Amino acid sequence: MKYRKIILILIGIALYGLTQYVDAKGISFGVPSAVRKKTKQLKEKIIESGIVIIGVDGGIIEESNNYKVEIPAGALSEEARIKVEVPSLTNLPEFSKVPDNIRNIAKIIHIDSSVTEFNKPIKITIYYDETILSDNGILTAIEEEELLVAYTFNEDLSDYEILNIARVDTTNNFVEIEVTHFSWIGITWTKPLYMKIDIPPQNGDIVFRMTPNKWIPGHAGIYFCEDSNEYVIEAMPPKVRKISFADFKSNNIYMGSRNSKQITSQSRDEIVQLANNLIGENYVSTGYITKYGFYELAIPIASASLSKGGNGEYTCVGLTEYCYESTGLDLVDNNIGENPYFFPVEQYYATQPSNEVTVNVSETVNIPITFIHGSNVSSINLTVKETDIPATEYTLSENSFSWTPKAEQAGQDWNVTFEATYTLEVAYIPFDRIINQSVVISVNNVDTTAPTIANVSAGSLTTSGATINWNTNESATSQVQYGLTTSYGTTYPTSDSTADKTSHSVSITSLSADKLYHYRVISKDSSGNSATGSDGTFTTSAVADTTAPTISNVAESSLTSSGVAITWTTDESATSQVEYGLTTSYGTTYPTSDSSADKISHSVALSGLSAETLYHYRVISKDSSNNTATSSDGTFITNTTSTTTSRELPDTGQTTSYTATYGEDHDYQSPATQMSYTDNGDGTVTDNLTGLMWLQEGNYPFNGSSSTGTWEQALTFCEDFFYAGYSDWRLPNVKDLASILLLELKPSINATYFLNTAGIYWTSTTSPTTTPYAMAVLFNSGSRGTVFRYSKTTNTFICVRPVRGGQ
Amino acid sequence: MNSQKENIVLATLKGISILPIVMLFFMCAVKIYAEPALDITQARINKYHRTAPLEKSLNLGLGYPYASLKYWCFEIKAAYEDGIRVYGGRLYFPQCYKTDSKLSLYAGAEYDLVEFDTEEIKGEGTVFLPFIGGNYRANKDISISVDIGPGYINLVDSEYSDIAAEGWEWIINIGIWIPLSSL
Repeated sequence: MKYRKIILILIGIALYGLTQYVDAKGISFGVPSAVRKKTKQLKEKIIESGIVIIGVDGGIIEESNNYKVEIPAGALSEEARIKVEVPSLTNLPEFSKVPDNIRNIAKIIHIDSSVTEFNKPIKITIYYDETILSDNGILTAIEEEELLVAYTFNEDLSDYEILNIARVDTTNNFVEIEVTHFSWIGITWTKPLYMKIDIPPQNGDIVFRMTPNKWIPGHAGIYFCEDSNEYVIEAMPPKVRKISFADFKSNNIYMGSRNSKQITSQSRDEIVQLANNLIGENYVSTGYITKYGFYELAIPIASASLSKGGNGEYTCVGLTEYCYESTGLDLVDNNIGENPYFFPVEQYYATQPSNEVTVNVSETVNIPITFIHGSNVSSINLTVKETDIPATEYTLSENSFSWTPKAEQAGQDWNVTFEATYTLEVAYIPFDRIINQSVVISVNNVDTTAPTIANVSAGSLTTSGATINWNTNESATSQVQYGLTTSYGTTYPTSDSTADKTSHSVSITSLSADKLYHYRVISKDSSGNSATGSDGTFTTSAVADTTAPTISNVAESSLTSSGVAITWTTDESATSQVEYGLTTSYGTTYPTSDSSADKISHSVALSGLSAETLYHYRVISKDSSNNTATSSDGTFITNTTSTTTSRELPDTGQTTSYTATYGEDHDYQSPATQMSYTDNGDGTVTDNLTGLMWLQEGNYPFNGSSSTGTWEQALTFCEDFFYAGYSDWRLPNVKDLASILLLELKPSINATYFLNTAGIYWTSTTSPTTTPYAMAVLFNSGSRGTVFRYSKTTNTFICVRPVRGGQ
Repeated sequence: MNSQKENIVLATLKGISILPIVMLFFMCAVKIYAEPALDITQARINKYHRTAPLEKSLNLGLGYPYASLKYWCFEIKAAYEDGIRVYGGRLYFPQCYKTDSKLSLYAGAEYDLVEFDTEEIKGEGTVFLPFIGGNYRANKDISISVDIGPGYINLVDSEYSDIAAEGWEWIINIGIWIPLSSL
């Protein structure tokens, strides 16, 4: 018994050692121990499956270059197991409802959690592959990232819907989304609506499409727009070459470019020619014809060396404008593979719709919204949304309307009438099927644009006024600021006029003459937007000089037998001219043309005058403004000639010389110096000593049929007298006529040569003592002949005997 | 949760399917070393009856880390270890006992249901354990038993996923039997 206890103790020790041994050998001591080992294996499997256990302090689940899920502290109320997976395409829920217009550019992630709702938003970052956009023959990513859309599957609706993207980082190529519950999330590039606005198709528009599948690696179709809505394929090249976006730009070849590019007629011709050349090649028709007239043709199998799925060689020739069509891409890797899941055949315009339409007051505006193959368009809503104006201030014929187009209605336009001036902003949501496409027209009538001022000019300048004219591009007020400096100082009119003019004219008055004025124009439109023109200048006219010079101190000097100097002064600079003649009619002006108006002391020398002759003259002066001053009539008598051969007195017949001085009548007794005449036989007599030619008839009718008349009549007659072939007859002056006076005879003239001599004859010489009288010579009266003055107005008993020569 | 139960049922079926093979193995082994049960004399039984494995009396079993109640060839047991709870039962095969000495051999099978909440995971599972062992009767009131066998364990995560872990683990059980009548 003593040893039995020892044995039991040893057995116990052995058992303990056994337990340690078996445990070291991987043998569990007891079932719970074995279960514990298995729970560790279970945990490892859970972790390997991607499930992450996140506590209330939050955490991050990420897979490099694919996704990152950031759960902030406090988002979870309890520990949660979260699994992020990249599911296979076939695992997508409600696969048939996946929109066929999505183009996944990132891995679709499915996030499942043991907790369905979070206390805070969870930030999910999904990295996308930009090269999918740029290399897939669809579009370049450069301009398209703004069109990235996140979508998710709404289990409640059992359909897909859009998630708001919090941020797109186009540099690092990721999209951030914030959610409060997990689901399926995909990032897609979306095509725009199947519509265009304000860009109606025109004949000749060319579009292209790509529809790759395993038989058609990718082709470009050339379509010709026959009319406003119909598109018909012309042909397609057998191969299309994938072109980078850079090539699009540099070579002007656009494949799916969203940039609207006008095709030139030349390029269009080339495309059509290419298309025509390709018609009839060995295409194999699949027999598929879309309801819009699209044909899908397969390229020859022999040409199928092109790698499938849009990765082969593409040759895009002349493809462009703003239309393109998507390739068929699956949801995950954009490689369509053997079984394309999506095979979109829709065609759409890449150009975004015009986003502004301006409608003027009482104007009906046609907003063309053309659907291009809009079979997938579920509905369109146009909503007029006033932004800054109360609804009471305008009227809309329709402030809200909607239209659900059918495919056959593609290309319809809407007419919208507005009763006010609004700017319509048209936006669109490029994600059909998921939500209704809509066009929102925002109304904004706040005019913040000032008028544009143009064509400013100053005209109608006077000494005290000017008219400012200008134009504005909209109805506006008219105001002018003006002054002697650029500070202006005066505004006219002082208050705003009505803003109803585009052609403005403002006359300003009370200006100073001959001053430089600065001015600028101001116009306000009806919304109070004011525009001010730039500074302009004009100069008012100077005051006009209408005062003639004042002539004074008229005098004759340096009087000779043939000349005289006339001097005078004026009170301002003026020209110098003298009119002179034997009568107050003057007849001669010297100098003949105006001199410079630069003298106030004037002196004009007259020459070529007749000796011992009474001359009438007057002086004329003009200032620089052509104001003319004329002096009153003045006279002078030229001096006696100093020629010793001249005969001063009628021959006295003295034959005796009483002095030794030569010049006595005795000295002229030679026949050569005695009075003698020649009868010219034509009614004229020539004085052989003086050379004067006289009219032989002494009773010539010069006053109508009368041979008597006034002095003026005698002057006029003689000037116009034409006789014996001469027209330079004149009324003899007193010396001329006295030279034929023979005092010893009665009548006192040589009657042999001078016939029918009457009593008194006019001379052209005015009486030196009184101008109403002229000198006259008496030839035949009861007494001897004599010279005396005679009233010029007397018209009886006085005749005329014209003379020519002399002077 | 449906799939979790399915996994447990499936694991149970797997255990049952291999049970005849395991039983045949142990029966052959006992046949070699043990005398036929029919040779057991009443006197010997009386000498050691209170702790005999097949004694039709109620015994309390205490082991690491479990407690059990045993009556004849039936035993129910429960085990607990930090976050792990095991409930099950044992069936001993009488033909396998050699009872005419202090040391006897035995064989049987155990089936347990498992609940666990440890290692940041929760779940349920089953254990199927065929075993073979020996019993040493120290005196009338205490006997010590040790057995070993390959246990097939199937555990399923019940918290979020349906991920399961299953497989064989060698398990040793050691304990004492004390007749309740002696307490």
